Amino acid sequence: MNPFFWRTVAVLVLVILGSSFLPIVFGSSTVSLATLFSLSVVATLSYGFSRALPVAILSGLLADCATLGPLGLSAAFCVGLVYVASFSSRRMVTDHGFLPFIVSGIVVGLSITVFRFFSFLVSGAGFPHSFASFSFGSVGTSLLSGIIVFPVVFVAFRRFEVWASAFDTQSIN
Amino acid sequence: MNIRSVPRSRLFRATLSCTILVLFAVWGPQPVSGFLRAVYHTVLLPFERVSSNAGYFFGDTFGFISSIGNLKSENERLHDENLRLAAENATLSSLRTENDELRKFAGLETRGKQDLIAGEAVAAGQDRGFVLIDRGSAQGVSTGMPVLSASGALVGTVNETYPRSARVMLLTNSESAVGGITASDPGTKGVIRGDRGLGIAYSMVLRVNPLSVGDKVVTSGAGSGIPSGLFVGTVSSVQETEDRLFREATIKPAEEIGALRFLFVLKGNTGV
Repeated sequence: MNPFFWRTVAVLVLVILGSSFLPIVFGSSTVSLATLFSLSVVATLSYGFSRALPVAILSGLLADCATLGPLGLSAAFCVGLVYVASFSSRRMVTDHGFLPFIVSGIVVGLSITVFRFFSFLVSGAGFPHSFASFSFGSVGTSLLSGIIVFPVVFVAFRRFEVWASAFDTQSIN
Repeated sequence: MNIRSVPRSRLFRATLSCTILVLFAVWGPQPVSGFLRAVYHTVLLPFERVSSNAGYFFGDTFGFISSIGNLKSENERLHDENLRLAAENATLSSLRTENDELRKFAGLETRGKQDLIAGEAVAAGQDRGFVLIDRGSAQGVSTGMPVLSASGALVGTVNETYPRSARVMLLTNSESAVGGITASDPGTKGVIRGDRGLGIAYSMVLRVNPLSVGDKVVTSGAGSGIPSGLFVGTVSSVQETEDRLFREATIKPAEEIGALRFLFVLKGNTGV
């Protein structure tokens, strides 16, 4: 089977889990957003900017479809994260211990906070309501989710890539 | 810097992609978004069902384990509430009989039962007050229909329909607005609005009208095509607006709206 097929299936599974499993278990969409944004960062660290960009756009648009929100907003944030993460190399998270994971997690958490602000703004809530959506609790939860979810997504992604690369090798042979 | 390399730069590609996506998110044509969502949710609905069922299983399991410590007090509270509701039910039954007799006497049709379509929430929106239910236009669901909880309280309206699923805009959504009155005084009219996806507000209530904590808010039936008398919640706090012309209240819904699993689309009332 084409490895592209399995990578698309993996993104779809992640998006379905993000819209139909994680919000039900955790009672909020913070973990789902953290998973989606972590995927963009991890894909950039693994593939580089050019290959990660279509993955981020695809996963963002699928997430927007799945979560019934305005089509394109999550995808735009994923692209932004790909751009930010493209200044780091994969060695950042493989060679330098645990600190880069925390930094990446914080970046993901901050992205969730900013995403919420724009999400309210796009929905027509206006600036006062959008600013009112900020609270220490929600920002803290977003940061914590980013810090916890990012390493999980990173490890899962690397394992998946090892598994998918076996298909690449088979298809070459 | 090579001039030809500028358009290919990361910044250019990222900015271009972001601009197109944001413009589409803000001003994108609704039929295109609706079509793409319809395709997605029609093709992937079975997987969403499996995934949400697994989510409910895990959520219920962890919820049960964490609630073991509160079971005794919760049981006592429910016992007391059950006794109170039984008494209230008896009173309401006699009032209903009396109401039916009076309607007959006045030459009006008696109120019938609600025609409901039961559905299950299979996906949740990103804090924007939407849920996806697994019943769509094929089952008779159409845009604008009210959606109720198992207890009969209004939780939202159908906002977009797909062949086998539908998007429900919850009352907590900032874009949601429904006409309301208080059950104790039908003259206390206001607007039931979503509060940033976090709660429900009861706004535009004139200062001269009585409004206090504990009042039950029901739909007025004005405007939005939602029938009157659907329970929304109880007033938990009241404050004046800055211009001192109106009062605004926070409504505590009967159940946690975003966490409901089974929802019922009100297709219509038989009778009046």
